[in-house]
Amino acid sequence: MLDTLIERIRDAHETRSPLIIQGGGSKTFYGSADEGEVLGTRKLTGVVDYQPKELVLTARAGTPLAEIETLLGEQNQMLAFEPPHFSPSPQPLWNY
Amino acid sequence: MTVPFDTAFLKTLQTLLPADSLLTAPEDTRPFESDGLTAYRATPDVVALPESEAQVAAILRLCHQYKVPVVARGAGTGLAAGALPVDGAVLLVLAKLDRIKAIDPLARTAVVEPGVRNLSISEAVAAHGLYYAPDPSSQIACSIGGNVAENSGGVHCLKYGLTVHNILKLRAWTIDGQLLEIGNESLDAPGYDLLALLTGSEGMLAVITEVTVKLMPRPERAQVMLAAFDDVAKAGAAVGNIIAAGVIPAGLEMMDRLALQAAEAFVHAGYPLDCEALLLCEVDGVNEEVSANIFIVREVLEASGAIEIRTAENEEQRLKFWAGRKAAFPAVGRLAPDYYCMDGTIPRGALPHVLKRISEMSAEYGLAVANVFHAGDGNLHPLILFDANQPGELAKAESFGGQILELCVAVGGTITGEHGVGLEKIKQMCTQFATPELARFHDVKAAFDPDKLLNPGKAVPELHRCAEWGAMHVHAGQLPHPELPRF
Repeated sequence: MLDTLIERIRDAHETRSPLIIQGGGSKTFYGSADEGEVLGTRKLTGVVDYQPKELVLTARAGTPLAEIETLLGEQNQMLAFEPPHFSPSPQPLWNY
Repeated sequence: MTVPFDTAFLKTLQTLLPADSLLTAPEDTRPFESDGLTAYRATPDVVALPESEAQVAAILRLCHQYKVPVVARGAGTGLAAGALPVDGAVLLVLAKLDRIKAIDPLARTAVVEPGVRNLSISEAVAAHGLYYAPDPSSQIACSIGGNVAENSGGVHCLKYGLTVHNILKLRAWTIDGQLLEIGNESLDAPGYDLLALLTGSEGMLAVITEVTVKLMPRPERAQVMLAAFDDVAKAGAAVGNIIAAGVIPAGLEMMDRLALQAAEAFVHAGYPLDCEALLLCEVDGVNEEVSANIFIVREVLEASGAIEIRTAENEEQRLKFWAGRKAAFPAVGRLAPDYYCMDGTIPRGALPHVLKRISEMSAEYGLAVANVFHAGDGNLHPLILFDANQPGELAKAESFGGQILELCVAVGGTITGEHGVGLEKIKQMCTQFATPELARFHDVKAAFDPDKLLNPGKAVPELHRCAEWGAMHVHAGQLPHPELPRF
């Protein structure tokens, strides 16, 4: 999946075509629409590493927030920031 | 004496400052030859001690006009030779900008000049029941401008964060004399996070003239516990177990046998001596929270195999327990003519392995090591003991230190936790970062200071230097051409 994304970014760079980096798209209603092709990170998912003792979790960019919050909850831990979910559907981690 | 400056430059510089704020005579400039890392020394050619922001800006504009490098310096307590003078540069000492300009107890902020000492902020706001949380060991002397430049930490950063988490806003000047107002009085600001970029930039990007800091309410209660272990690895594991139990201690510190014995001999803190490692764990907060957490920590320490656990019975004993830890560096200083303080950070889980490797390397090098460190956040401070009067011992200590830092990187850590890179760790930056990352650092530098006038030769190595030093590692720490000037 990562290889596909890298290839698309390289192509876009070569052809000078803008990309819209998008995760779950839960905040697309907000602000004006972007121009360009959507580069979706939805398929780039999964927690790479989680060490509760280190208080550190590494996840791929498209991992739904809900998945991470559930995993943390099992260890009685939580994220210190609370991005609004805005939808019941699974949310990606880093999607502004 | 000869000063390597254009006469017109020096004449103009003299008009910018009162006579006693510009030092050029060697007996005046010598005290500024090093920062806290005294193994690195260079007498500065000119020391400028501005008293106002306007003077700082004027000096920078003049230096930019004549392409004279500038090394900014605060209180000079840094431990990585970040404020080491550079030949042909102006050493810009900001210690005289020491006014606390405003305190807002309701917003819990203070606006201070860069030369204000870390501890004096807490003293100034104590009447409001507030304090400034980051507390580097040098807090009695170090200044807030230097704290921002190095993103300083301290015993309490495990719970309360580093300098970057405790400041809101900066006024800073670029080398061409432009004012940057970065950050905001609220918690978030649009645009790139230049506040985080400048924090820890080691005097490479801009000169800070004002810092707005966040203040914290003093915790209702703080309580410290002490636990002795017969095995360093068990103490290391206990650190992770405490965090996993859901307690974030205000401070979680560790000392090994050599360090704790030195500390006990020095300040008589009442530490148990018949052990291999000592943990100090402080919990703070409201009364009920502290009581609950002490109970949890005690259980975890017992389960982790502590051979003795004590809770400070009163405030006097709490301060005594801390006094030993806070005096550990000078205490270790009594064990050998010199020590070299390292500053690597590792994932907590790697503590037992790394401590074991350090003790093996200590035997290989024939140099003793005392370990005193912020165990909770994995920030190691191995103190390598040596005697600089013995030929070759300093080089041996530096080589040993370099290997410790490379070990930190190998286990997923970093070459500095809180002291910064400065000149000291510049070689290890080549181990920490790959070429594309270092190239981005140079791009950032160029965006602020294209002529490379601010603190040249520090913090970020030139790429070709990494290639040269790469060869050095093959040759067991021997520079290929020691006769060549290195910076």
